Amino acid sequence: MGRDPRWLLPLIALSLGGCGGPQSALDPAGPSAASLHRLGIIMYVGAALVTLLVTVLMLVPILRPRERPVNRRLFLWGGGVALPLLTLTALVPYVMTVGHETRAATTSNQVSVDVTGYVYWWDVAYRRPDGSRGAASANELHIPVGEPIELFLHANDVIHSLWVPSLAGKTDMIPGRVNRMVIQADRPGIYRGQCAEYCGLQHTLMAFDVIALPRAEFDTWLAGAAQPAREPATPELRQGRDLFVRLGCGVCHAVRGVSEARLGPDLTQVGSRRTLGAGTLPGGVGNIAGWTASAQHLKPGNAMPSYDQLEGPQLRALAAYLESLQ
Amino acid sequence: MRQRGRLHGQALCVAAFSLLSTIPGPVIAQSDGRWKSGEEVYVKVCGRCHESGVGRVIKGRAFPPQAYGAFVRHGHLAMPSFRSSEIDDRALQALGEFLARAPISTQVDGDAERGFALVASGAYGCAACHAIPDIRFPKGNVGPPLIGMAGRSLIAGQLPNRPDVLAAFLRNPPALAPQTGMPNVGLSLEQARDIAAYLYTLEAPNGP
Repeated sequence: MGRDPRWLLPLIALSLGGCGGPQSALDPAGPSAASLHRLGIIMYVGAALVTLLVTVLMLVPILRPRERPVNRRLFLWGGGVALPLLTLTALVPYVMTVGHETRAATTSNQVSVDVTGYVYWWDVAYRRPDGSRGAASANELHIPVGEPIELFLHANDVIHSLWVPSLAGKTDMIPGRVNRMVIQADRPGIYRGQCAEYCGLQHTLMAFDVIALPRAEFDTWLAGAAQPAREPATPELRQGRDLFVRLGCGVCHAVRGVSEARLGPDLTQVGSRRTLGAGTLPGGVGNIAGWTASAQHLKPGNAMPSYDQLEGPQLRALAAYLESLQ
Repeated sequence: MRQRGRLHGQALCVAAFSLLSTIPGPVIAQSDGRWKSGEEVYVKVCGRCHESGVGRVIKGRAFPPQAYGAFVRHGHLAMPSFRSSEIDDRALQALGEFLARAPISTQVDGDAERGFALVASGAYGCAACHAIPDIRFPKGNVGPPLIGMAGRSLIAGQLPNRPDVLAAFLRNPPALAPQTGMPNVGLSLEQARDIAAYLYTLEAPNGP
């Protein structure tokens, strides 16, 4: 009865359940994350074996105290020098090859994206073939499945670090430098990323999503993202657009065809985004209204002021206009 | 002459009694058994206020039966007291037992658990503007906190807080309160009822 190991099954299932999800280095979805995952497994198993060996050696004199004295030379030279030398000689060259995919060369016709870290959000801009800034988004990176994507990492203010555990290791974003990184998703899905270098008060609320789509869907998305924002169709949406202009939203935010500023996230497609405020809130008109009216309450210290001087109907019109930008 | 007088007196007494017994309701309060059940008392007396949104919801709160009796005999805030000539002791006991077991009023025609799931999903942005007791983040401060919604008198400061009004307001706030900042987030009628049912579980922090 007491020997029945089946009671362990739910425990194992429970602990393995924590390994999956949209943000997990233990559930790799691309070659770079997979090789890191392999290295991780080798390190865990190796560490477990070493712990086991040391424990056994420690127990021998306790359990069998009358044994003859140990061979000191074997212990010192064998365990102290030869064993670490052998292990490290094998491990170091292997470790150096791990994550090689993160810096792999790409061919000229592949997707290249500039990702810039700002205090507490990410600017995402797709490079045109001539290298100029094309379609832009924020806090969301759409990529085609199964292709290496070249990312150029910049920082606008302080050091940030881009980390999508399911796709690749971390790469820092350093002001005044451009770091190159290649990521690839082998299956469609949404992978969550997070700033991995403490960057200030709202470092916690600086997340983003990588959305991996089949190539055809990605092409459709990219073509749509390069279009100007759609014209407001109803009087309320027109009022919202006018408020956007009059209140000076366009001083910080770009809406393709309406404003071009780049101090804050590009809002050309804000209505279709999964999150607002870099992972602070889900999308949707209710959250857009709440965020607009109280951004400083929800994410204190971010660069967006709370527009708390609006009348109710104005707030609704502005939120409806932003939600219509899809 | 004297005999006639006595006869007259008797006739008058009989007439008076038969007249009295035809008067319905509270006047003949002593008559035990006038109330058939605790539920009848609730529907005919308590329900006047507690089912119409005037008084707060008292079903589904599972107090000990005597507690309801104390409220009835002594009154509470705007609630009047009721004498034993109006609700006799046995009927009161039955009322207490009925209310102690009664589930929350079916007038809130929604599922509070489903409603909470909708609120907690974040998709409708409730918590981006309102502080909601069961949600840790966000705790918005654009609109009023929703704690105590079960006993609040007015919705948006201008509409009576009744289940049907609340559900309609949640579905399309600007239609009922044109100056509100609360947008229409596209809830179906069923979703609005579920959320209303959830909101009616939010009691004020210091109890009744």
